[in-house]
Amino acid sequence: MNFIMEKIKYISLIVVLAWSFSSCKEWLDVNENPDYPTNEVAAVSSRLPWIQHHYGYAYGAASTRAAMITGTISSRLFTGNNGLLPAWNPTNSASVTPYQHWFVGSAANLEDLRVKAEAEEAWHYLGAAYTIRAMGFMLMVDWYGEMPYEEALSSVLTPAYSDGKTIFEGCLADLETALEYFQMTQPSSATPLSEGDSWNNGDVQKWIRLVYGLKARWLNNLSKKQEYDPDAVLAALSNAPQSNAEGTIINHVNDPSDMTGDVLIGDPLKTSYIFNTAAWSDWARFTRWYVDLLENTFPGGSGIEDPRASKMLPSNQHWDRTNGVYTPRFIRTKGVDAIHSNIRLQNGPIISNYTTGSKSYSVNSTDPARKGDTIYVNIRALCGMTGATTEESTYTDADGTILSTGTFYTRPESPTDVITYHEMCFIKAEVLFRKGDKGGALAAYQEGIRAHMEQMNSKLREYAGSVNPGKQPMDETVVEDFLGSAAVAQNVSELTMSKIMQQKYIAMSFTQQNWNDMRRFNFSAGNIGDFGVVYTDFDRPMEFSSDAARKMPGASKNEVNYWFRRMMQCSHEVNYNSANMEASNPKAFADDIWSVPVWWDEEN
Amino acid sequence: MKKCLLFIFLLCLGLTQVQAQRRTLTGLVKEKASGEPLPGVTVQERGTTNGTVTDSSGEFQLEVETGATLIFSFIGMEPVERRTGESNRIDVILETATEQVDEVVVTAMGIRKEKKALGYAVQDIGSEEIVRNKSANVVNALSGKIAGVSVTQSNGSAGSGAQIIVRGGTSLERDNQPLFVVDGVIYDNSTPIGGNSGFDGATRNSTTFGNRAMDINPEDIENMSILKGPAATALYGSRAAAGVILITTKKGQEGDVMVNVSSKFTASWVNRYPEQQDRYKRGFYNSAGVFSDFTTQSWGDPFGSGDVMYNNIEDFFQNGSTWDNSVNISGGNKNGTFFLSASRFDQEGIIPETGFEKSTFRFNGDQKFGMLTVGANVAYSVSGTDKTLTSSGLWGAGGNGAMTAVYGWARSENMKKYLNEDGTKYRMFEGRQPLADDVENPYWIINRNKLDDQTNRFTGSTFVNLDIADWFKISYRLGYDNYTKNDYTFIAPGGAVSETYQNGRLSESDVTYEYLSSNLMLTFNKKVADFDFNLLLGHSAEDTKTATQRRTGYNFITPGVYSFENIGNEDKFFQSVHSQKRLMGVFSEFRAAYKSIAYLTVTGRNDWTSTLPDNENSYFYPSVSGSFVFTELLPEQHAVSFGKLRASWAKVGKDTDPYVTTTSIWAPREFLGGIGVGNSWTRGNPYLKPEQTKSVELGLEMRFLGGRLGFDYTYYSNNSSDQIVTPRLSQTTGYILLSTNVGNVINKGMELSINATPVMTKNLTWDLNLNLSGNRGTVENLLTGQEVLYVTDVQVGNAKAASFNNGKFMGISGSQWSRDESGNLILDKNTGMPTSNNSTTNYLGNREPVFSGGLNNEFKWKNWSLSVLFDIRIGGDIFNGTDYLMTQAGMSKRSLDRESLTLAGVVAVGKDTDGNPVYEPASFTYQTGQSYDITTSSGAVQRRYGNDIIREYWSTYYPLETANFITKTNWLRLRSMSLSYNLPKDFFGTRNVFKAMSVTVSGTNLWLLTNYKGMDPETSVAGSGVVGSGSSGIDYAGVPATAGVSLGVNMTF
Repeated sequence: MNFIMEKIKYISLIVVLAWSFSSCKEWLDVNENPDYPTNEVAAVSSRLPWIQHHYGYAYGAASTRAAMITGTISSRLFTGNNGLLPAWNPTNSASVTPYQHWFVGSAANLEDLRVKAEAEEAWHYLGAAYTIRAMGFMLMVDWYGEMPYEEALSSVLTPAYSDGKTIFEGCLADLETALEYFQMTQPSSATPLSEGDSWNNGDVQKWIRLVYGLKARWLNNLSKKQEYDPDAVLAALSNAPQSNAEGTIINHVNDPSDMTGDVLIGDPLKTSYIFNTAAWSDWARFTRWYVDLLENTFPGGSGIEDPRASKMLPSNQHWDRTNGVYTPRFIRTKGVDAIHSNIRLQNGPIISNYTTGSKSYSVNSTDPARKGDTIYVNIRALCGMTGATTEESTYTDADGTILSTGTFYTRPESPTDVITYHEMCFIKAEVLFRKGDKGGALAAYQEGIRAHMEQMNSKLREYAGSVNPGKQPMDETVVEDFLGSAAVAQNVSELTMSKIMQQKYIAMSFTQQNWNDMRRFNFSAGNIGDFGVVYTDFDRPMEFSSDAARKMPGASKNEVNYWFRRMMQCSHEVNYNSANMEASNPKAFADDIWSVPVWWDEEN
Repeated sequence: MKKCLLFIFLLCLGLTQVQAQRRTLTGLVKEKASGEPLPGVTVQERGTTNGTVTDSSGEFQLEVETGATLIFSFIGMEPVERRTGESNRIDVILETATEQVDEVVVTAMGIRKEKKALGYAVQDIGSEEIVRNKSANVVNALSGKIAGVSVTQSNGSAGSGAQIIVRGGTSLERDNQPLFVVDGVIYDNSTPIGGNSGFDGATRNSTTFGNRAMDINPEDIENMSILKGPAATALYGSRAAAGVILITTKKGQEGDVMVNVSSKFTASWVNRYPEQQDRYKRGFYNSAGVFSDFTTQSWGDPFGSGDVMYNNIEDFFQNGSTWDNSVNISGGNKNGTFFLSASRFDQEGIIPETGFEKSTFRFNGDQKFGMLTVGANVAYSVSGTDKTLTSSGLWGAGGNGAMTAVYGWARSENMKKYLNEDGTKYRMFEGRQPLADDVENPYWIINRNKLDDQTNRFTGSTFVNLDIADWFKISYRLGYDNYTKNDYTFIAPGGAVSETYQNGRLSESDVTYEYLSSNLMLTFNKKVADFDFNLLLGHSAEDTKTATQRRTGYNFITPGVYSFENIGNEDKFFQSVHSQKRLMGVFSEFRAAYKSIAYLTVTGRNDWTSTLPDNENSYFYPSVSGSFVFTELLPEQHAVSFGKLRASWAKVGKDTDPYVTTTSIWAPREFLGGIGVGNSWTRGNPYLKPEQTKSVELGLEMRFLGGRLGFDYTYYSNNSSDQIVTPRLSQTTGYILLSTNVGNVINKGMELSINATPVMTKNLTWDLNLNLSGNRGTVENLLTGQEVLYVTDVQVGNAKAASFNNGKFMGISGSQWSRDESGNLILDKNTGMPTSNNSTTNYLGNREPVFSGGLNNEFKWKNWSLSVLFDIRIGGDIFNGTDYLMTQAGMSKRSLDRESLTLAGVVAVGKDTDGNPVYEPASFTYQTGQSYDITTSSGAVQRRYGNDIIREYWSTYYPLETANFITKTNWLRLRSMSLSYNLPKDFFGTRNVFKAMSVTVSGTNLWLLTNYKGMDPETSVAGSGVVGSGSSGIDYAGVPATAGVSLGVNMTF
């Protein structure tokens, strides 16, 4: 009997053990991630830096690619995006980054930001969110033409596409919503916009200027359309930035401890996006076409050098040896003539090496055609991730020789222009020119050039103390001399649309808007209005191949599909949203989708 | 095992009545194989209920009528009939039955059941078979032996994992490997990757990873039972949709202490190398016809008479060698048994500086106290791998793996030269490109970089069994599984990696896995007339925790010291990730048997999981199965000795991973605007449901000629619905990935095994076993517009492992050349090159074989035994990514054809009135050494050199037709062969220290017949543990598979 009692003890022990495990619901309640908070808890002030950065990166990556397409830079590479885009032989791997940074990096956070901001009545964050939403989707229109918009960022897993017009109009409507929020007063309990806003440090008035500036830019991009309303553009301009100080510019820094990297690509988080995408390593080379713009050496140019040339083009340091003494001097890059010469077809340009011992540059090639490639200076600069140990970004050799001065827009600490006064001036010049107000156009054009130079100088002055000559301000008398020279239209009879747009191109180097503008004027076709050839001397690159001709099959400049007019949808859309993509455009999968105009670029 | 059965058998025997006295017979029953007395044998007078059983010394005593016939029977032995004669003593020797009618197998929850009672297919293999051609990885023991089980070795590197799939995968995007259960406790068989592509660049195909079932010492295993279908596994509920491998380890036997020592040496070598061209040197000609040597590719001039040609591929590999030693001691008495073992496995790989080593220890023991039995199974193992970067470098860090470089290295270059005379690094393009752009020399990688891992694992369980009454038992088991895997990756300074890491990089990670389970079972049985009833009630609870600690850093401050302490704080990073899941279940099984004729089993289980939303976290799984032994109703006959029909229906399922029901945010980062956070690119889903698999299985098992010939046929159909997939999405959703329930995976298949004993004489027996199986996996109901689901880790060029909506589960997707309606190639009208649309989503092949199987022959002649296992595979596409790589590099044999290129097809010449293109036949021919004027569509004329055009064809246009690298593959291979000799008992004379001793010579993979060109087609680029349709059938720059021979000695004393 005792024995059995003992058994019962065992049995009850086991049963108790089992039941102690089974008091169920609480025991199972372990599905809260101990390492990562959920999307519901992030504060508006911590969302905004993330949203701004990833939108900025999308715009910057698009802009660097646009700089290859529009002939600012070419490349010493022949494969990969940085080799194929300058050849106008694109593949859709080039179209991933802006799309991904916009949607996954930035836009996915907008709804969570909205919910939090509404809860605490942080209206200005809503203003910023609507502004950035409009900017992101407008970039999608500029790049891809069509994109999921109404069904994007929703619970729909395969979102249908919206056409360009719908998105364009939606973006303008978002700007109106943004204005309403910016004009509201936040309760004091709400988080002030200054927390987390790196664009305008929470200055709501500047945000309002920004919104009007965007409106002016976009309304002006309709110049091919019947909807085009010059007066509406001018109305927007009147509320847009009226001085350099009222523009929105992202002031990047070269922080050597900026090593964490973003989650999508791993690039640093404070450096300029153009640096990240164009000057991270040694591949980019300026083109002859762009150098001509700055040196005014294009056909019909004045030949007078623009003072910005030595700031916007790289030089490298050379050593002259006399009697065993080395004296340094800087030599500015020559432009790679991708349009008129066969250099790219001759495997050039190739990399140039600096040898410390002889303090000289050379190329490692037996090909006589390549011997002279040392004249092309790279634009590499250094950040923490690529070896900078201080804030100085200049790319130097071990002996201190400056291998590249870098350029104004391609350093880690370079500014990113979001909306600037000089862009407003050039828009105004264009609109007034179209309206026949040549005098007003001339004044705006001249003001635009001056404003850009002043803007540059104020940034260059911040670099005081740098040994890099590319980082020293322009001499003001040289600036004044140039502004009064034959390089700049001095009277209405000299002013042409070409002159306006050439100056706008320089002032807006490395921006997506330059590609937009070129498309609006059909590049160098000369068939828009009576403006003549606007982008003088521009053409498809000489290396334009039979493969590229499938993508842009036009045989003459007058044909719409002669030109590079959009990006094909990227592989994520091809693979994961193919049915909708197919319905988005009759040519969505066709080889020549690259030369199909986006909505605002279509004449109607 | 037999002794375990004795107890059950005695219970079943019931009362035996003693009949009218005639005379008393006595006798002794022995087992033939061991010569030992056999207790528990039923001795029955024919035609009566008179009978008895032998006692513990094999003796029996029974009163019978004169002239009666006695039947001696015992589970697993051939019954023997003896007519009584004059003698009062009858001695009988029983042999193991060839017709194992009453064979007992281990089924779900460790319950032993008569095989004939099962309504579903279960196959098992015993220790002898497991050890015969043992490898470090116990999964490989199943290769070719079990119908419906497919085992794919990742590659030939030491310590690499093997993937096991039972009856096709049931999940589109989850691990489809079966659950491993060792001695009643779930045993983790994942393939942990310590690092992470986003953190330190580690990816599944960047090096070798082992599956954790490798921690088991194969010598410890008594039996492996493979529960293939959901009906067999339903009691395991949400863990068992993909099948269960039940492993029972050895225990001590009552009797003398036995010591078993075995030792084996294996030599191994590469069984097949990829084919490489032997005519052209490094270099290329550009479009202008100018030669350039600024390439690693081999598009240069032919070898001249004075040129040296290197065989870099074959020179790179060496012969591998392995020492495998193990010892175990076991024993026991009436009340307790013990088993102690230790083993050491030491392998040197076929790549220099690589290897695998493993040490294991085990203790199994039990002790009886009256009706109470307590016991424990405890194992500890330490294993380590020295490995190298293989098919890619570290993600995001630049650089390449050793194997991609080996296969692409030009034969005009001596790959062994990786250092200059002065000991500095030799660079092919010194001064011509940045270091980061170099192709890293494989010898640099293996000699300078260092990758290794070490795993320490402890598993154990303690159990209590209570035999309250002969109709009521309770058992309880507490199980524990814990391991830590440390990965170490060191990239030496001076490597061809991105600038950031050129001063060296170090990563370490520790993956900790901890699993605790509690399992309580109550069993009741009751016999009513001819019916036998059995009821099981159970409860289980599991708690699984993982933690991963990762550290990485770069820029060593003082050269030569490669430690984290020698890295500045600003260059050091760490990550710490945890997860936990819990699962609770109650389960029940009811069995009814009518005589030996009909059997019915009904099971039910309800699970509650922590990983699903509250309203979806409870779910019920039923199953019903039955079998009908129709030969019991027929008159006894020799020709058809056994026949059984079986059928089952079951539903099981899978829960999901922890933390997928909410969207998390990324770790904070510092931006210009301050600290910022953002949503993860994986969207959480608060509406997830469990995956469900419904299954129907039918089977017929028959034996003829007294069991000399038999077959077992199974048909099954499984439909897995509500797949939890994390598809890649259009990123316009804001996310890259989302967990959701969508899609069905349907597997239908047949399995057939045939057993025969063609020869059975006194000295010679020949047993053969043929098993064949074919599975058809298809997919339905994916998201509209998402017609293809890819396996993230498995993408080579345009080829991807992919599952197609309303198509194949194990498909291959890729790009195609464009063709007109009649199938002619559409060529570019100017260049003549094949055109292609840009789509890579075309269905191009199915990696699933039409059927596969194994043929196992066993010959026994006196003390010799020979076992020969062939394995066969018919059909199933394989993408030869290695040849794709080599074609682009000008190294493939197929690119030998490069003196002239003729392309024939059609070109578009305009459009008809409907706007459809009009084609005309065209042909283009290019010769080397000549230049051609090619008109572009803009009218410009480009002059291009023939060599450049032909090179571009092979490297750019040819691979656009992905199918060019796909082979429908058949093979017949001699998977293993072993010859062993058991030394006769008297070999050592009277001083018999040894109880037994055998010597075995064996070989693996010695012969392979296949239509596949290249390396061994049994390969999977991303190894074991790849989810969904896996990576088998994708061959990309892996370490070649090996063949080997070994010599082993086994001694028992």
